[in-house]
Amino acid sequence: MLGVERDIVTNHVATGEVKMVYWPMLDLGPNSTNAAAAAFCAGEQDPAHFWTYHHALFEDQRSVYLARRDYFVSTAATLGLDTDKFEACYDGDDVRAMLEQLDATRREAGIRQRPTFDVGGQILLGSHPYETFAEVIADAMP
Amino acid sequence: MRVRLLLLLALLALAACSAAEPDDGSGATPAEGPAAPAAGLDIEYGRNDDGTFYQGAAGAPVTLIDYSDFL
Repeated sequence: MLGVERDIVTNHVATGEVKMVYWPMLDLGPNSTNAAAAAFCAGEQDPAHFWTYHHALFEDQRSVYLARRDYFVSTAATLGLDTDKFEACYDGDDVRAMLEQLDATRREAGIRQRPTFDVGGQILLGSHPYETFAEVIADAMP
Repeated sequence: MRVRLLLLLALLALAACSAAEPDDGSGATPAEGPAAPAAGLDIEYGRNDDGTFYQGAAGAPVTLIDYSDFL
């Protein structure tokens, strides 16, 4: 999705056409939650930091799968975040409780496949080339 | 003499490999800071009432929700 996301951001988000939202799915064990918690904790400091952290994790997914706490803290440090605040958030319960709630909401909505995209109400299951997104976005435009 | 030289080279190679490994206890190299997707672009960032994060104009005509796992 990284390359496709880059094209969507450049051609549709930056132009004001699309607001892109990330909704975490917590299906693959403890590190699903840990990675999401880390990204959301980055966002607690500044919403822009969520996306920088999100991008960092997706660029390094093989490491994320086996990562432990130190990996997420080190990533926060590398990205210039306040690591004291990050660690307090990451080790706390609040963000994890929120993530569990978000995950429960998407399950209740019947969202099961990873990834799933809701583009203005149209559902795309799985990964798709940029051209597909461009077409669906165009269809969704008022 | 040759054996000693080969042994020395092997030890040096091993030392070089050990020095390159991260020591954060995770068995993984911390992600470094890549350019964010929106580098160089004028992008608005925010947070929805449900706690999710967004990028793009809050009032954009189309909302794209990416449901995915970081793994």
